[in-house]
Amino acid sequence: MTSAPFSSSEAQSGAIADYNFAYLDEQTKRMIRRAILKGIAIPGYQVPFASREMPMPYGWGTGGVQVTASIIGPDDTLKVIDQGADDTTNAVSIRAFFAKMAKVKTTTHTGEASVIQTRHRIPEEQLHEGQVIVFQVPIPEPLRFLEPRETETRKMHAVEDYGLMHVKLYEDIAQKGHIATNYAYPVKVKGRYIMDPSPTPKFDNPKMNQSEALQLYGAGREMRIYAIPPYTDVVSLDFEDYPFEVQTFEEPCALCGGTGVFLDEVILDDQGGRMFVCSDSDYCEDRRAKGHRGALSPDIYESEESLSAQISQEGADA
Amino acid sequence: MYVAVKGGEAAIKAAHELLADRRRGDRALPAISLEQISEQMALAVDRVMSEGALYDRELAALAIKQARGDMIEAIFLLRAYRTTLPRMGYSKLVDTSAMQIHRRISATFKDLPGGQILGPTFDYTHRLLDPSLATDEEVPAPEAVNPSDDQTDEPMPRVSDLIAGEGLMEADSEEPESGCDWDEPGDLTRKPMQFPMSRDLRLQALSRGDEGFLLSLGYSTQRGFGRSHPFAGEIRIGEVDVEVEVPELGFAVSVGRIQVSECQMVNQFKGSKTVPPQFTRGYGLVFGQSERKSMSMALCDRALRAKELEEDILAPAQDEEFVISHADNVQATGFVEHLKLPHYVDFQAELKLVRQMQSEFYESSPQTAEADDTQEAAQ
Amino acid sequence: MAEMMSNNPATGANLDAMIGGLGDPVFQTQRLFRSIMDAMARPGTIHPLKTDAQPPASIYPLTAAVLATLADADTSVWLEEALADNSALVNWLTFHIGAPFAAEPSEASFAVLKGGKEMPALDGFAKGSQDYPDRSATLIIEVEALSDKPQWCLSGPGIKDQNSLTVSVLSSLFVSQWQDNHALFPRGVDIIFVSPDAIACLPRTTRIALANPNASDKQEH
Repeated sequence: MTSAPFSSSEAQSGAIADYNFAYLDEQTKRMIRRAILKGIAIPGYQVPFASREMPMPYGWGTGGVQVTASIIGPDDTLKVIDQGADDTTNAVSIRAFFAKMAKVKTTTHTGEASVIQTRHRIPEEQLHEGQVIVFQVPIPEPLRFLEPRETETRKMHAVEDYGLMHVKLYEDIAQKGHIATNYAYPVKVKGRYIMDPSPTPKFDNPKMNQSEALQLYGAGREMRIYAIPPYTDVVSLDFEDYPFEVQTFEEPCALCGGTGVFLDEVILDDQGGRMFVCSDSDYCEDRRAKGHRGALSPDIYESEESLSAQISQEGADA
Repeated sequence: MYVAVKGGEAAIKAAHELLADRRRGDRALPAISLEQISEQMALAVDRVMSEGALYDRELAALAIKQARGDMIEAIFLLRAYRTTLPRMGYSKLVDTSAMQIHRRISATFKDLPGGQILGPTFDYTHRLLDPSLATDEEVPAPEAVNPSDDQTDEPMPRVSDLIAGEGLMEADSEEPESGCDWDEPGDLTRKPMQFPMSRDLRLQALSRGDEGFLLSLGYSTQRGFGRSHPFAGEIRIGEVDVEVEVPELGFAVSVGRIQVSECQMVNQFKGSKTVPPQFTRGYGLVFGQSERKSMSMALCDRALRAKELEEDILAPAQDEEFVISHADNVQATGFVEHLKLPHYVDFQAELKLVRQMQSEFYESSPQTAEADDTQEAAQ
Repeated sequence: MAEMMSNNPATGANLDAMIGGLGDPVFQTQRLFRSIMDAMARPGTIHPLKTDAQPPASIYPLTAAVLATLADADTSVWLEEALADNSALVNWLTFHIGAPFAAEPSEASFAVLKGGKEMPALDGFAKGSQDYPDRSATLIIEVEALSDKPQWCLSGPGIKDQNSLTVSVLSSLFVSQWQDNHALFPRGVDIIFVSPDAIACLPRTTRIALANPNASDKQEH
C-alpha cells in the first residue's frame, strides 16, 4: 500500500522534492474520503477534517481542491469556475493544477464535466445524475457571524437551536425592509441542519434543491467538509410574510440575450455606461454558438475583435 | 466594445515569468546559493523550519530563495511540501535535559549546575550598523575555549527540574502510573482540531504559530492583559537526538540530531487547601535558534492555561479559541489575501439590493432626492 | 505504519500476509472510492466492482478492497468474532491496512461483519454524538447477493421517489433495527453491503419499507 510517486518519468529521482498523484498522499485522501462519506450520510452537517496545507493559499479554494483531489481519477473530466467563469485567473490556476498533478481531461462545458469545482456560482445549465459539484467554502458555519465561537455554534446545531438565525433575518426586515442577505443565503437541508451554501448569490439557491448532482463542500482553512446528496430537500430560510425570492434582472444578457440567468455588471466608461452579461461564461458562449444574440453583441454592432472567430477557435481547441 | 474577458491563462504565465525575472534580479550578480542562505541567513532558515514545521535546512533555504525572502511565503511553501510526505513512524520523546548546549541562560539563579552559557547571541551587542559586514572582510574564528571547559561533562539539569525537585514548582503534568507510558501526544495536522484543546495540541499549534502574533500576545500579558508574573527560568538552545523505536531491534536508534530552542517560564505561584503554593509553568519549544519565539510561546502557553489553573479569562491571550484559531500565519495570510480574488458575483448581488433600497429611500423622502445628485450617479 | 513495514520485509510477519495486496493502489482505491461515494449518495443503487486483492479466503476480496480504500492506521477496525479468530486474516489486514483492531464494537470506526441470521445488532456500534454525529461506525457487511428486486422500498436523500433493493441474506431483526437507527438521526451507523462482485450502501438517512410482506416473511424464517 505504499503510495508510489505519481509518475517516475515525471518525478526525477533524486530531485530535491517530488509529489503524489493529485498532490495529496494516500493517507490524506483516505481521511478526506471518510469525511466525505459521513458528510453524505448526514446532509448539511459540517464534518471536521484535518485539512492539509495545499500549494495554494488558504481562502483560495484549498477545501475544494482537497475534496477534488481526493475524488478525482483518470476517467474524470474536470471543469473549474470562479464567479461562474472558466477563465477567471483563480479558476485557470486550479484547472492547471489538476491538469498537471492528476493529468485529467479538462473542459469548459458544463455538460461534459464529471466533476465541477466552483467558487461562488452554480452553473446555469441543469446538472445531471452522476455529476459531482465541489464548492469552495470560505466560512462554512452559517451561524459564525451571529456567534463567532465554534464551541457555541456546535451546541446550537446539536440541539437544532436556530432561533438566532431567524432573529437576524427578521431584524433585517424590521430595519431595512428586506432580508439583507444576498449571497451565502442560509438553507435548511433535509429539514434538519442549517447550512451555508458558500458565497453563491441567493439566485443559485433553488438549484441546490433536489439537484440530480452530488454537492460536496470543502472549507480548507476552517477544516470542514459537508455534502448534499442528490434528490435532497434544500429550503432557503424565509418567513410567511417575507417569502424567499431570488434576484431578477430587468434586461437580458447583452451578449447572448439570455434571460433568467445571473448577470455581471460591466462598467463601460466613466459616464455611467454599463452593460449586463452572463456570469456563466460557458452558458453564454454556448448560446452565442447556437446563434443567440444580445443587444450589444459584437457581430451586431461593429466590434474590435471578432468574437465569432474566437468561438470557432475554441471549438477547434475542444 | 466589450467581449467576455479572456486570457487569464496568458496573464498568469506572463506574471510568473516576471516573478522569476525579479527573483533573479540583476544578472550581473551571482545567484545566491542554498548553502549561502543556510549558513548566512541561518535564523531565517530556522524560522521557516519552525513555522513550516519541517526540519530540513536545505528545503527551507530553497523556500526562502523561491519566496524572494518573504518569510510567510517561504513558510507556506515548506508547509505545502511537508503535507505531502508520508508518515514513516513517530519518534520517542526528545530529552532536552540531555541537550548538547549551545546557549543556556537562566534569569532566576545567578549560578547553577552547568553554568550560564551566552553562546551566539545578539544580546549585549550594540545595535550599531557594522560597516565591516558591507564588505567581505575576513571574520576570525572564535577564540578556542579550553576543551576541558567546553566539554561540559558537568550535567546541565533543567532549571525547572531543579525548582521542581524542591517541590516549589507544579508537576509538568500528571505523571503516568508506574509502568505506564505517557499518553500519546496528539497531532493537529492529522486529526481535526477541536476546542477545548489539550495542552499538547495547543503547544503544537503555538510552535507552528506566527512569531509576530505570539510575540504581541506574550507582550500583552506582560502589560496586564492576562498578567502571569513570568520569570525566564531557563532558555536553552542546542542539539538533541531524535530517536525512533525499531521493533525488529527492540531498542531505539537515533535518526539524527536537530537544533531546538526551549524556554521554561516560571510563573505566578498557586496554592490551594490541598496543594501547597507552587510556581506554575509556561513552556516553549521550537526548531532551530528562535529564542524570541520560544519565549513568546511560553508566555502564551501559560496564559492559555488560565482555565486549567482556575483563573478568570479576561484577556485575548487567555482565550484559547481566539489565539489558536488565529495564530497560524499560513491560514491568516491566505484568507486576508483572498480578498483580492474576484468577488463580483457577490458584489453584484449587494449592488442590486443597495440600489433598490436607495430608490425606496428616495421615494419615501423625495425632497432629499432632489438635493442629492449622487443618487443619480448611482442609478 | 503499513508503509514502514512494506519497506522492510523482515518484520517477522508471516510471508503469506504480505502477498495479495491491491495492485496499483492509488488508482484502484480511487476507483473503488468513487463507487462507494456514489453508492452512499444514491442509497440502494448497486455498483458492480472488481478488485485484484487476494486476502485469505475468509472474506471476499471486495470486502478487503473496500476496507483498504477507507481504513488505515488512523481508524480502528472491529472484526466479528469468527473473523477476529482467523489469524491469517488478521495478519493480512495488519500488513496491508495497518488499522488497529478495536476490542469492542462500540469503539470501531469500521466493522466487518458477515450478514446472515447471526449478525450482531446495529445498536452495539458507535452512533456518534449529537455534537459530532460523524463519529459513528461504518459497517461493512458481507452478504451473498444484492439485487434490485423489490424486497425493500428505499426512500430518503439521494433517492428520487423510490429505490428497490434485495439483500440476501440478513438477520430477521435487521429491518426493525434499521428503523431504530434511522430514527436516531443525525446520529446513527451507515452501512456498506458487499457481495462478491458489487456493493450497495445504506446511509442513516434512508428509510426502509418492506415492499412485499410475504417476501419478507420468507426471508425472516
